[in-house]
Amino acid sequence: MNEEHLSEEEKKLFRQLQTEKPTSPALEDQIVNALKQEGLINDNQRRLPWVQWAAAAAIAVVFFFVGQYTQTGKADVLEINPEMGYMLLLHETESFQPGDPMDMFNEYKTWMEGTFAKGVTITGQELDNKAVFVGPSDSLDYQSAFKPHLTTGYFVLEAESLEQAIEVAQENPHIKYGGRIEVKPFIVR
Amino acid sequence: MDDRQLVEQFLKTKSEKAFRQLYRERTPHLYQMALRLTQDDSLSDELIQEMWVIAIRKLAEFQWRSALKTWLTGILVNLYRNHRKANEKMDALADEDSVEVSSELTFSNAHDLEAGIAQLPPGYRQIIILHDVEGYKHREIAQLLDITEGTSKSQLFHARKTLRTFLSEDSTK
Repeated sequence: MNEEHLSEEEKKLFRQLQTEKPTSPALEDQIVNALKQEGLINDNQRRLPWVQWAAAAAIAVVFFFVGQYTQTGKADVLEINPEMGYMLLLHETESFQPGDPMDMFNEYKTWMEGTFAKGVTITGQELDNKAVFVGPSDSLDYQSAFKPHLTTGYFVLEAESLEQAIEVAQENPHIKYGGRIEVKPFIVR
Repeated sequence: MDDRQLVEQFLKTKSEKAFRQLYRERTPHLYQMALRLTQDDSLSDELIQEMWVIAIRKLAEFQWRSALKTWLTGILVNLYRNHRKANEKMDALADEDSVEVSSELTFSNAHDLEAGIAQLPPGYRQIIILHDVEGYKHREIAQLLDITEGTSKSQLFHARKTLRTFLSEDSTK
């Protein structure tokens, strides 16, 4: 046998080894942090305070508009049919990057108007990052336990189907800025 | 987005989001290669991290004379070689002439082949992975490792010979 050459069967076996191995989220975060420390990528947490505040204010606007579009005018008072109920949970990780505050203001306003125009009844509330996780044997500070994953807001809506609820979620500007939205149907027993 | 677009997006924004996109696109294949080279999870993590720090530092100077994957592979393999030099007093390449060759053996399945590669001395493992698994040509390997094409061919010859011997020994157990 000539050691310089592989048989076709051997070549095929080698090609089968051309696989991928995803890295853990922990390694990805570790590398991102190392790059931040070296100043090689921008640190989201080091945004100028006014930019951070303005972006947060723009996001909060959507929850203000919620109140404008409910029949009662109060965001926390809403009657929906539980069998058509869905909860949208807004999650943020380090990949969430708010954009220009004015752009965000307009995008959230447009989203809320569009959702209302579809006949979807909706309410919601922005959530504080500070929270306490209560478990069977201990309680933990939410931020330190789950950082960098935060749940920063929720909507409750009445939609005709799961597909419509997902469509509403997909159109929320939160997605565009790197956030994720968890869509959870109500269970009626 | 292709590699060039991902790189341009990152260079334009230097944002964490753009880096994560680039990272997720390119790392899984390189991480598998690192695991196969090192046979060690924590060392693979370390090398992948160092690879990205070096790559991001030099990314603006990358001229696209090779594919991004090839460029990153070069950084990774050289980090691995530096690690070996720093940590191994004996390079098993010196044992190459003592190998008995089974002239009839062929690799029977991918699992055995993977196990055989894992048993190879690091230098042989490296050349087998680059040439036979990853499909790089001797000319490319010579550039990646800063060796001659002749050296690359010679190392591959001996690496395959050793691999066949390992597989032969395993099959007789």
